[in-house]
Amino acid sequence: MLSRKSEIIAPRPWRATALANVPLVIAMLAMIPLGQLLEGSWGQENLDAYFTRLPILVGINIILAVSLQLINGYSGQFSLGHAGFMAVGAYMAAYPAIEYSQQFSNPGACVIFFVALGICVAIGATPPMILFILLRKTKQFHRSLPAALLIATVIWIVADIASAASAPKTPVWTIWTRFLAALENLYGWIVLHAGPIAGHLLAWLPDLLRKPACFVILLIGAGLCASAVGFIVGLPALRLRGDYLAIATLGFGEIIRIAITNDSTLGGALGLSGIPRYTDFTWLYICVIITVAVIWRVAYSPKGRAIMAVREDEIAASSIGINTTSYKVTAFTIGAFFAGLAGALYAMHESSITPSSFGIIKSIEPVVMVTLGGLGSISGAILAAIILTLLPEVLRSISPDERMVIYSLLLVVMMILRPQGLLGGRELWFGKWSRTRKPRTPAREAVPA
Amino acid sequence: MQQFIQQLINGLSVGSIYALIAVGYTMVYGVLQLINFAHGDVFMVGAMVSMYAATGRVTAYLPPWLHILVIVCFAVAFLVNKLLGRTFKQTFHKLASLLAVYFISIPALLASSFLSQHLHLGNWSMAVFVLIFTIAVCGAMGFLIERLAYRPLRERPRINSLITAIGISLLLEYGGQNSGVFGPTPQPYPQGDEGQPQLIPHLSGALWNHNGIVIQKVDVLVLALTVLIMLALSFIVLKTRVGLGLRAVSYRFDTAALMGVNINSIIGFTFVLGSCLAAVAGILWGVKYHSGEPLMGLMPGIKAFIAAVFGGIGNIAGAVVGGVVLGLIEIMVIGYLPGGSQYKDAAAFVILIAILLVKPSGLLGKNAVEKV
Amino acid sequence: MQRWLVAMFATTLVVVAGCKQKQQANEILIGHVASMTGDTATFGQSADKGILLALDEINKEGLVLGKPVKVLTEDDRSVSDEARTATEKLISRDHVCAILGEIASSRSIQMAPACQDAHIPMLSPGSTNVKVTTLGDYIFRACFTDEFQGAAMADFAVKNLKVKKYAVLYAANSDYSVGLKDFFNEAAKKLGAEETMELSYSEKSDVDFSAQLTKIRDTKPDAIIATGYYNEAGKIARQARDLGIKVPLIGGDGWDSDQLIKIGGDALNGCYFSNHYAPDEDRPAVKAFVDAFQAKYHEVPDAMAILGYDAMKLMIDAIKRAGSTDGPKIRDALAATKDFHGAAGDITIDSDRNAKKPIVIVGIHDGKLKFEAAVNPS
Repeated sequence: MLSRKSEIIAPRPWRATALANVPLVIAMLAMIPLGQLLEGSWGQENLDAYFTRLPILVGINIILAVSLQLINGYSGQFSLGHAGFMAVGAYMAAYPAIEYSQQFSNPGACVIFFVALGICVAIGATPPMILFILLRKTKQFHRSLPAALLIATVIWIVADIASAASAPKTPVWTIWTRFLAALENLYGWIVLHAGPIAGHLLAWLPDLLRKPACFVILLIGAGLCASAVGFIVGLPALRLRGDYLAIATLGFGEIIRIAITNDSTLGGALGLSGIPRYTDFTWLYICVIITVAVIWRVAYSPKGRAIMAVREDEIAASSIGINTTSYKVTAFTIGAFFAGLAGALYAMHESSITPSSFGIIKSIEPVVMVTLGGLGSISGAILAAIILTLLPEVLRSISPDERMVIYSLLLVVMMILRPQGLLGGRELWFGKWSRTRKPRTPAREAVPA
Repeated sequence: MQQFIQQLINGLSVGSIYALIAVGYTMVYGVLQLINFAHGDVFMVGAMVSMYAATGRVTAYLPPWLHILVIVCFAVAFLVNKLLGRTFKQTFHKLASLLAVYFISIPALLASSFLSQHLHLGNWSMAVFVLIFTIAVCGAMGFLIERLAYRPLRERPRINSLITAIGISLLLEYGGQNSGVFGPTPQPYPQGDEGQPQLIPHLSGALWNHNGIVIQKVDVLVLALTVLIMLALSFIVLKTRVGLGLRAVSYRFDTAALMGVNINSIIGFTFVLGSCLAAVAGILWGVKYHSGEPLMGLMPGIKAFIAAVFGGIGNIAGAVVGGVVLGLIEIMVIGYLPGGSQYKDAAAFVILIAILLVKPSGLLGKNAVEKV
Repeated sequence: MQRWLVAMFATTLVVVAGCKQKQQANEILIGHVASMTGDTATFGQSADKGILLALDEINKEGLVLGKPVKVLTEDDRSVSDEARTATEKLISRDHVCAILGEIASSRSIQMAPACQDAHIPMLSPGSTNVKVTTLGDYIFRACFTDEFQGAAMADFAVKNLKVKKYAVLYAANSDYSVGLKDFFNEAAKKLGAEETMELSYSEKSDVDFSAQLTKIRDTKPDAIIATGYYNEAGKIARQARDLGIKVPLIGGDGWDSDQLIKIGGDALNGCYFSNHYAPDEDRPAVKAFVDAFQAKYHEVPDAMAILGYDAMKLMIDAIKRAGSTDGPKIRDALAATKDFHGAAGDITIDSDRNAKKPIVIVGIHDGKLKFEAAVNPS
């Protein structure tokens, strides 16, 4: 299909045309009847309920692994904080699902929740942004935004310690608490007044479409919240390399988890329960397909090639004009979006979430999947996700005690015997294991002394 | 004011154990540029093994399948090397250290189980035996981990070693939780009450108990040991030949090899030393907190790494300073921040990120410029 | 070619494993979800021992509804997510007709939705948090609630120990600990006692409480209320004594374990906790249970053992009264329980599916547990 004049001379490969999306759409639609079969009456009678939750777990892990592949594999930033993004997505979907959606019958309220949240966060972020811009302008500090935030936090803590005896009355503290309270009031006001308006606007939606509409709004909203957090995490990540980045992202994941644990609106340490269950196989499959499609299109496009160039040699890439900052942060943002999506799906499947389920182990699992599948290979990540989700379950029936031991032993042996992973950075579906796609794995990097 | 001093003392005592673990981390990172995630778990093994040794539960009985597995592995290794064209003598030299560890461990375990059951808890002889035994076990474990898991990956990108380290860490944690090993339930450490024996004699009770300020004997011991070890290590690194080799390897890996430094033995030595320190830290943790379980090493390990980075990774004094400061900050956060006990872990990570952004080389480290 | 083979093999494996196993119709299967290992291992192990003792006695008496009774125990390693997975496995793979469990409230709260959705009655032997039975009409408990326990603890503290000011140290990530401390505060306020400080820790991950205890020490309370589980309670007691805090510590039934004294040692002398029973009570039912338990296991039973024993017997009694192993029928029979003679006391299930049972206060002196007082439900 010729869509540009230049293609008279050199036609684009079929993969790059719009037609290439057709098989994807067919695959998506084909799974819907299968999903209905699994979840419907035939499935309830003939299939083990314990076992049918496995495909959902596999699907969520696939989304996590593929989204992490963009951050770890394609952009070379070793991130151990994926569980933090997942947690943000889970909570940002679970909270409105419980509070505002009325069992998924009120899509307007869900939209208003995210809009109100966005407005309040934007207003709340303005003072630090102004601080940051002022600092940049005065050229006394040229560190990134979080450093400014950290300085503000330290001032706040010191002020608090100084007035620990009685109720804090220092100006900084009072201003900050009043500001936060005002933001909360604003949020409540928006939700209260705009909620019914949105409800009326969307009243024309037939009942059949309400649940899916609510679900989709929650998923997208959760993903956007997670990608905002990913953006914030991606900024300081610009300055860090290798192992330091790993521990810093681990730290971010833990900070997010601890912040959630200390927030009583989000249920605190006891978590949120009673989340309406809406994730089923059909929806999950659609989300998996969308995730894989998006990440695939990003990775094997000119943008993706730029990201890979940044991974290979950052200095060389910036010297030929690639904006390394933009691409590295984009990788974090997109990866975090899908991690948030996975978290939202997880929350609406498990129906109750606690912060402790998004700990360090939850971050390590997708990293293991990505490395096992091969850094830079989407099909590898999918394969590894499937294997590493099913393996503990299969082992559980064989030997419940030893399964995690075998799991970790497998990981170590795999890393020693085949460090490039199962597929070694190549893709399963690029015919004949095409050599051209294999990324060059650099030998021992030069270490800044 | 009095509360502040007491909190300072609390912070110092928590911080010194972090410092001990951090020293091991910093040594390994300085030489190999590898975050040894398994270090926290070697610390855990030290605590558990010392508990078992102290209560007479060391067994000389290793399951037969383990012996068969090891012998089969050696046989396969010799065969493979034979196929690759190496002589028996060459293979023997390659595997000498592993063979030595295996063959020494059998009589050593026998002797240890005998001693463990016949020495009395509460005597100095038992304390010395437990110390030596734990250090030996952890040192051997550190050596084996390096030899089997990290050495094959030395030429590979660092991410592979990192993942392997995570794998070994998970292996130790879940393997420890196996009912045949330590079991997942927390176990009480032999402790000192009136009449009940304890590991290190005369260690329970307070050294100073006036004006509401209490200093425990255990805490003084931990701090003193940490300082001593720091001095000893500095001596080793700065004044001995081994230390010279260590500094050479940490500065330029390949050039040191060209200069005739035996890389394998230096790195092995570093790991063994780091693991011995983790073992000591484990014993002291058990004595101080009276319980041990297989998952106890996860958080202290991460905090120790943060401490090492904070003080300047690769710098031993920095690790000690970082550990102590981290412990102090943690206690101060609990003590003076409302709702602080929930934030103490976050405080550690905030410090980490702050130091990585502001001064990545740490408090006592030197600023390095990346040359193009 | 290889890829397709692998894919087909994997699919076959999954399909075969996924097919439902046909139900065994010739025995009564009761599922038991317990923390046999992990942080609160003694809870699950004791409850299991009590349940198995009851099972022995039940099977000796004969068949129930013409079938033998069998108990399947699943270990949840003291982790809430595992508790839910174990419950789902018991319900969908093993087709149990009822579930006993869990002792810890956080885990019962996680398990309850699964049982409620599947219409399988769940009887918790020892979860005291009020939220547990609010999660559905198939969820029951055979013990008192924290509302009653908190009030009894406060009563004992103010009236017997003459406590006027107290400090609280609780586990922020435990439903049980938070709920109990809230009820204690409510009751103590009514009795005129004043709370000087309330601090928290994270259960399962914190070992050092010196910072919190130092702050508490400075407020000079008459007692410290530690509403966590035995693992942390022992350490708190020890570290409190190390800091020179001499006032008694008061706790709830989460303290009951033989590991408590091993961890806390002499530091626990002079401390008290509320419990479901004391082994030296002199009621004949208690004595009979203690003797039978010692004959089988050669150790003194703790509260979780007797709770497990009573819960098992209550469940079988309900099945007998229901006349079938159908979930809804067992549920109705459980809800109608009146004056069931349990070893730890008579159990009557009220309209909120809770049991009204007496509470005992146990004191620790010279490393041994001693019965101090009993409080009956009003």
